[in-house]
Amino acid sequence: MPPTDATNGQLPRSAFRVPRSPDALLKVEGLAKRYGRGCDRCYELTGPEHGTNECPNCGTLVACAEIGFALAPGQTLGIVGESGSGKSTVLACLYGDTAPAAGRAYLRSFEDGRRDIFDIAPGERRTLRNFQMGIVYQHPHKGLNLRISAGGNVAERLMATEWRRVADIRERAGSLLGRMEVPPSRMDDLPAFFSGGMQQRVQIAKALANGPSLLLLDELTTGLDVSVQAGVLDLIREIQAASGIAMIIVSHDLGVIRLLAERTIVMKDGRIAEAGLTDQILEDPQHPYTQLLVSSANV
Amino acid sequence: MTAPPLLTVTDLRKEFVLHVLGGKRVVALRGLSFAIERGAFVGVLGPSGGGKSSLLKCLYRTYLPTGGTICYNGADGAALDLARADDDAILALRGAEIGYVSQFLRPAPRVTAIDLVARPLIGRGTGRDEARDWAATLLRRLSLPEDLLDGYPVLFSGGEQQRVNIARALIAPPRLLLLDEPTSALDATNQETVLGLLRETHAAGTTIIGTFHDLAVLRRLADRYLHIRDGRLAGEGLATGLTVAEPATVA
Amino acid sequence: MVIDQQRDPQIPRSAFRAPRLSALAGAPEAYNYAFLDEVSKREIRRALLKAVAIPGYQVPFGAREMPIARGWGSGGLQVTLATLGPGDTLKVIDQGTDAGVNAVNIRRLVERTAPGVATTYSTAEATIIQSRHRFPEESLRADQIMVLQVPLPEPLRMVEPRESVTRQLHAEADYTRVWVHLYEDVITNGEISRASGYPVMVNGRYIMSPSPIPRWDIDKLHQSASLTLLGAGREKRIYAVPPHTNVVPLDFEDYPFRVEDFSGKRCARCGATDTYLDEIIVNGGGRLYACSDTAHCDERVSAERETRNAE
Repeated sequence: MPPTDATNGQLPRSAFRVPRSPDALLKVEGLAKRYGRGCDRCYELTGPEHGTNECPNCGTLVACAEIGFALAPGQTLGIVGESGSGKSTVLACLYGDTAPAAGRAYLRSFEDGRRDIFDIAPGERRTLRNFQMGIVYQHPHKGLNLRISAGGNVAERLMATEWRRVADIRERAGSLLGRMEVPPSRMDDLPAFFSGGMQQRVQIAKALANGPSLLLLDELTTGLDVSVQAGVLDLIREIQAASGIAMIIVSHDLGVIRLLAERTIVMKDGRIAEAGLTDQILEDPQHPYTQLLVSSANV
Repeated sequence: MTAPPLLTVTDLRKEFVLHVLGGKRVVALRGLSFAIERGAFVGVLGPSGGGKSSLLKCLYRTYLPTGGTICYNGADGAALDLARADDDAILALRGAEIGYVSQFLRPAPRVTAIDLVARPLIGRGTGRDEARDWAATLLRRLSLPEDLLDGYPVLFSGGEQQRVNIARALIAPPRLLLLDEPTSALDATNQETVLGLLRETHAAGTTIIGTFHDLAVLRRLADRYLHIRDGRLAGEGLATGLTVAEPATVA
Repeated sequence: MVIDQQRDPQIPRSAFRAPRLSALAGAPEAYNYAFLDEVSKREIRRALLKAVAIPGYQVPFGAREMPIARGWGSGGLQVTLATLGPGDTLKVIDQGTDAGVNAVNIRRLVERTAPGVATTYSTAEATIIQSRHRFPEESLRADQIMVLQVPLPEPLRMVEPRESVTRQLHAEADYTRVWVHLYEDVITNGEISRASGYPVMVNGRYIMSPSPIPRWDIDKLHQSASLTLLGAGREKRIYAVPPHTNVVPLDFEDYPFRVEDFSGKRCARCGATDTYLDEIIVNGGGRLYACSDTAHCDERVSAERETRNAE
């Protein structure tokens, strides 16, 4: 929020109700991730105002720091920024692919949001990943085992949650893949031989297999042909409309963010440069970096 | 005791700092104060670049106000400062109470006109087929050619897109509707249809704030007017009180 | 050093004959009891105790160089040697037969280095049975110990090459990838095709490789009255199934675990229809079946002969 002049308000502040935000599905506070030995000046010497995410004192890379936001159920949050801005690191920390250096996060659907999901045992993290979250990576080989069948990849999620009947597993995996427009005839084929767009569809089917409350999308259309991108983005929109699942979409493409996200965080040099409603970010960007980003993009 | 105004705007200011142009400052609103009663139909007039669109965008929070307050009395009876409310609160209002139509709204790609229009209704719990029926009825009333119902609005002409946008805003009438030149790209016949729909929506209880480049249209629809010029309120009053001298100030 | 026998006739011819193990190693008395030194035995016994305490968990141990090649039962042999003592009776079987060359050699090593330990072909007489790839057909008793030789102890190796990762997967009981492997097997082959070393869940906690025993023998591990010890010498792992422990083969509800089907077949020698049979291709392309457990087969044959003689 920009500075506003409170003294001009006609009503005293107490007359305004506290802005009503529905109970957050996800709350993230003070998230930081560093690569390197670290020193006590890493955070003060990096960030957009220093134009770098590398600590000049000790050379540590501050991938992200001071990341805080809340996400309402069913809401889609975009995280936009250039390569190396730390946006994918935020997802990696949330999904537990990497351990943050600092911060807390609470997911309402996990133990009523009372426990910091950065501070749980590996087995609990797996439960969290298997039941509460799904992720789609930019590179399919990160999210899929390309040497097992497309159905097997989806089945992995189901079997992680104790599905033990092949017929049931195949029915569920087949219907998920079908919804993602992967033809049933290809269910038993290896995704290694699929097109990029089809691989992303298999990843999405896998991510949604156990009906998670939060879907993390990391540059899911980057590297796809424009026409293929369109199909995958449409699919995400259909999922938004049909399932009410909350999403965090990381992209360097403002067009993707405009299409899919209601709220947007702009990251620069590992920090949040600006956060707001997506239309506000695009039409009234506040931060110099956001203005540059918006004025250079064609959205 | 009379009901509080639906909207009380106090000293609303909007200034853009253009960092890409070396920190150049552009002032759009220089301190607007006015109140809008529930059920009003307020026409906003004034020259181009005078701040009409900036005002609507500040109310919708597409623009972040630089100063002042926008006190909105919600359906739940509580007041909220739209200038400062958090994003979730604004999103909740946009979903349930406040609508916005602009001539520049770009429709989402690869969604058919009928689905685009049906969506707000589905969002409020109407079944998909029923919502599509309503959408089709509304679009037909707006004379959208039958073969365009299943077409993609991104490919439509300006006037066709505008009718789709209006249908989308009116299918599930909001409590407060913000209109930015809703009839700018329409021919006379279609304009009449839209005006008729707006009158119906207003009659059904929606408070409407709209900018109209055509003063005659404004006088036919609105019961009050706000005259905004150079970022300031240059005048306000009953629409019927608008004199023929005013058009000179309207772009 | 090159020795030219012609130029140096003083060297006796016998020096050039292949030496016997005993000749090379000196007199049996020169060895510690049961070949292994006491420190090694203690290391193995500690590992065994831990293995029994955590059924199905692979305990690393300091495996010794053995007088047999790794991969030839060195792990099982170390477990056997660290377990037996005077008064024990040892049976050694190699793929079902006591007469296999490896079984013979292991038995001989024990006979020479462990006075007071008898050897036998009889399952009933044995107190310790070391085996490669088979269980005896007879059910074992509480006073018997089964020692299995294990070439590849890690059941997750087929889905994960890194030891650091498989250990973590075991620690977290994260066995999803094994299930995916079985699923892929089903969709490719129409069933879980794994013939030997079928993965089992031990005590509801660890997935374990039962060593390359056939499916037929898996059920013998489940709730067995006897203790089963498994030793992998090359991989340096020891694990165990204590008596009366649940050992459940992994399967799907609609693709249940099945043992080998020998219906309509019988042992050509003893006529048994309830044993694990080896298939033998005979001259002319015909097929014969015979008990894999030769001692069991022998006992049936001689029992039948006695019955016939009595008549």
